[in-house]
Amino acid sequence: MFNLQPLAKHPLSDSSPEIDKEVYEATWALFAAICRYWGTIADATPHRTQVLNFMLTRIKLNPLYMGYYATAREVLARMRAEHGDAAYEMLFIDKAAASEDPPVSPLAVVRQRVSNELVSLHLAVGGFKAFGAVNYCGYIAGPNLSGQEPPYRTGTIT
Amino acid sequence: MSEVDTLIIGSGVAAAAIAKRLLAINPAASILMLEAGQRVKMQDAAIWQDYVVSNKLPYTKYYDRIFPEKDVPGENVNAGRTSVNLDGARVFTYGGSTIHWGGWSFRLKPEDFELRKRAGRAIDWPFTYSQLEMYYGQAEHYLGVSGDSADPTVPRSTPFPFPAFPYTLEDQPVAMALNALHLSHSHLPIARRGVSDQASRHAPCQTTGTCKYCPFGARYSANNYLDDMFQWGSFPNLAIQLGVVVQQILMGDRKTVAGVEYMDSADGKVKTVQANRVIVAAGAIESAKLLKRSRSAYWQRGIGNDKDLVGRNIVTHPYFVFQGKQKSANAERLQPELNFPTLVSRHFDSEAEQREGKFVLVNPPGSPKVDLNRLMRQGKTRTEVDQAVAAPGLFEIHGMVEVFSDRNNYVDNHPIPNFIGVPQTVVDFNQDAGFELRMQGIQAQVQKIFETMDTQLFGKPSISWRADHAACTVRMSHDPEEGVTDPNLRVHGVDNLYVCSNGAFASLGAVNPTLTLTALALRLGDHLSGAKGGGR
Amino acid sequence: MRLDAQRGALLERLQKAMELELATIPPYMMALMSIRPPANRAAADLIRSVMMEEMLHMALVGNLICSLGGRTRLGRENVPSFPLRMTFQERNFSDRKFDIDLRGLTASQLNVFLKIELPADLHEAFGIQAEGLVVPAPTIGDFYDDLVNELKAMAAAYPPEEVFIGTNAPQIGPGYYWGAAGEPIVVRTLDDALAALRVIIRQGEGASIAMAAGEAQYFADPRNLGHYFRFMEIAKGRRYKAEDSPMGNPTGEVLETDFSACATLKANPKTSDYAAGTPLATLNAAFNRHYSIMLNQIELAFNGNPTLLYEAITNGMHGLGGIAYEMVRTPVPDQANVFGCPSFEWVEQVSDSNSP
Repeated sequence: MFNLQPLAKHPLSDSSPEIDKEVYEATWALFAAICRYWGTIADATPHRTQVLNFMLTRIKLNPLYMGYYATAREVLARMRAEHGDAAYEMLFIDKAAASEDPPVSPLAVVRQRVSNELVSLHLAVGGFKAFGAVNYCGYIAGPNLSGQEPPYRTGTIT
Repeated sequence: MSEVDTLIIGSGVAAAAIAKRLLAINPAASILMLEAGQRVKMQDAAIWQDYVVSNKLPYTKYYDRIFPEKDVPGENVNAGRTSVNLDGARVFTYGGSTIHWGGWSFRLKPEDFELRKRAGRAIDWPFTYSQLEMYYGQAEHYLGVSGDSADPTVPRSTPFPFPAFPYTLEDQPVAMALNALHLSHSHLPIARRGVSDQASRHAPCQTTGTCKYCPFGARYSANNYLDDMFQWGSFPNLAIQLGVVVQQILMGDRKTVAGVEYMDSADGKVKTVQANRVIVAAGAIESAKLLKRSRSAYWQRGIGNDKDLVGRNIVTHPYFVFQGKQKSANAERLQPELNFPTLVSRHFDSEAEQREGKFVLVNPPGSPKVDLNRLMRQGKTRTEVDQAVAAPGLFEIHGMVEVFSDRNNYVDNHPIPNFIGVPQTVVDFNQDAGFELRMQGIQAQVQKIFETMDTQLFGKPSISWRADHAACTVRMSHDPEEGVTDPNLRVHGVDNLYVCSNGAFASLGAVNPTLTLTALALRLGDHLSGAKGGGR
Repeated sequence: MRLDAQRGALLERLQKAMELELATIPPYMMALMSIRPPANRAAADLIRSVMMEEMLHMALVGNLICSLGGRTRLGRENVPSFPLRMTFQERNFSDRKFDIDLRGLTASQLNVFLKIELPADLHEAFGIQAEGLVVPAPTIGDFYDDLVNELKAMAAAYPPEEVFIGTNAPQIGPGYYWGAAGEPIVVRTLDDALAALRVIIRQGEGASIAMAAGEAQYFADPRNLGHYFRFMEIAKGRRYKAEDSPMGNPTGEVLETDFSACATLKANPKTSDYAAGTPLATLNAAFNRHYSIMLNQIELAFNGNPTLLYEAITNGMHGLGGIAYEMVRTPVPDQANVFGCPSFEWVEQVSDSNSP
């Protein structure tokens, strides 16, 4: 159970700064908007802690993500003030923001470093099911237990 | 300088399995492993999340660099006409290349051990399938292989430790086509732990689909097992040093290895260590290179190389990918649900095909191609994504074909060290003139399968000669004129030097080598301990 | 009693059972973490297996609560704090009138573990008397007996579809558990519920020798050793043989435990014990965050979102193990030979406000 790897660990690698509540709620709202826009997850609330965990692990791996999430809050607050909920769709479909390489403008940072990653996360925590499959790379469906349904779709040839 | 009983060069699956067997027989056995690479953190939540979201892996920095190109300095030299890529083929790290392997765990078939007798190619193995068989069973248990114990493809005396994964829905079109064409197929034996009534610290596969960095450690990776041995094994004389590049093996006299000389990257100094016996378990390419550069008055062309065979006869598997487009819609919304294959056909991995080159066909887990993540990141609407999923599917069939040793194909040392301090590699490989024709024959078979699946084959197959399955560089033989190692993996002409690597294979067959390598490692462990059943 | 009132009483009891299981995990975990490999491997394996089974018990109780239409709670009020005194309905258990410390493995802590897991009817044999109260306080064994009896009574009085009203919610199935004996049981019927309770009782605290009396060889299968007997193996330095009696000592293979090779950890730590800005303070804060998030995910998992348990396992347990590993190797400033211990304190997370 405990995977102890002293040689590869940095002393304070598990420390990470606290996430501001407003920044979290803005990121959460974006995640919920993704679920709504694509109609993939009807009730996103059980995933609140996963989104928090996700933010914490991204920041742990690359502290710049603190800034990315803060930027996302600011950008989305401005866009929503101007366009209401349509702001999310604008973010999801903006072609320039998606292709800017590297992403430097605020919209591009939010699209690529925050929104796109939350798209991947939401698929991996169950959003993929809306498209007919039972398992997905990144989703933990469970083991293959004899006498039980396999954790993926099967057919007549087993 | 210190005295060690068994010195193992390398820390991959071969080293881990040998050590495990030696220590099972004698927990106080004196074993030192020398590993050129460093350690990678496994089962880390942040790294795993990064992999899910951005496909990045923490160990690709330990891959070979690409060959030199116009604007890229690169490393290594590809001297032949066929590009045998090294980048991505292996991993210089604690635990070796099983950190990134797919876990396909096939046994060779009995006829594979008699390639020369039956097909006039290369040489025969110096023992038979049935002589290795019990070690295949032990290897399946050690690696934690899930498979179909009733599968008649190869003879077996013990069952798999875990049952096979049922075929997926995505396997059905291929399975039905194979049935209609009377081509046999079977469950692909895969190193993913399953559920049994034995409690284990190693978790069962949770079909997470991120096998290259399994968050549960369910796919065998030697580093996890080494960690276990070092952490809890109560093995007082087991040790490992990382960041150690063995430069050459030192001889006491012509027949006796005295130890090795190595560069310790911790301080840049060159040091030596003495050992009673040395096992080279550094992979097919590095093991051969090491022998070759260990020159002395006793072995002027390199240890075991009087016949100029070290590094020669290299083979690998050309890995081919055929693509086809479904003619009708993807009505069942088939899409990737697993990250490892479940269906294989070894129909053409048969005695009848041995002369031309046996081949296996695999239904890859990523077929048909549907990438929800990419579509959504592109900003496609729900309707557009639904349409893309339901559109005619893009299917693939993958496979590998056996090619035959040619002494003109070789690997050797390059004078310049690589990124880790190991001498770079020169690989000189030219594919056989008959290979094109063989691929055409394979294509004809795949075309029939696609047609039966109502799918149109398109394009030519992509073929990679990447060196993942490099083998036969220090091949086994009875006769020292024909090979470098003897039936017990001992280097001909030296009493206490062994090579436990795919390099020792006499031939490669059409399947992944790791299970066979593991069987050889366990057998070597028995042999060195004088255990019953060993040495035959 | 009306069904709702009976259900409510039973759910309260089950919630307490959940908290009892959870309460043992931090002390077992830190005993385990204080062991310095490669010494004491046998003891480590035994403690780990007990700890894993307590986690199984939590899952079983979670399924029971779910099946009856209840909700597991693992928030601030439900999380143990140390030193811990176990109580139920504000009364001490008569066989738990001792504090359970959070500390590393010592001979005396092992004795506490033995007392925690002591089977009900060994109390008399080992001279543990209930205090002479007008209303005698219940033992843990009584607690579980009452639980079983209340459940049976409810199931006898009402049809199953009115008792097991939560059976549509997904529960924790067998795939979520590995590493020790037993498996999660999905609870849909009275038989399932009793089977789940039997696992808890048989493996752990409510175990009774009378149960074992009917079995020819109680110790035949080492995986089925009750927790008490696993701790006895450590305490007595020997394995049980099949022929040994539960009332006597183990006479099998020797296993040695060297308590001096275990690290001394800061006992019953609190956040305030670690000076702000020090490595231990930073690690402890990270630990408590991971711990609180993990508990929240376990709560959600038990309440009908089982797949969240995987994330609790990968993110939570692996993360916690790594941080604890660091802490037990970091000396406490100004305390000779004492190492850090996480405080297992519940901390509110920014994601908590909208939990379903």
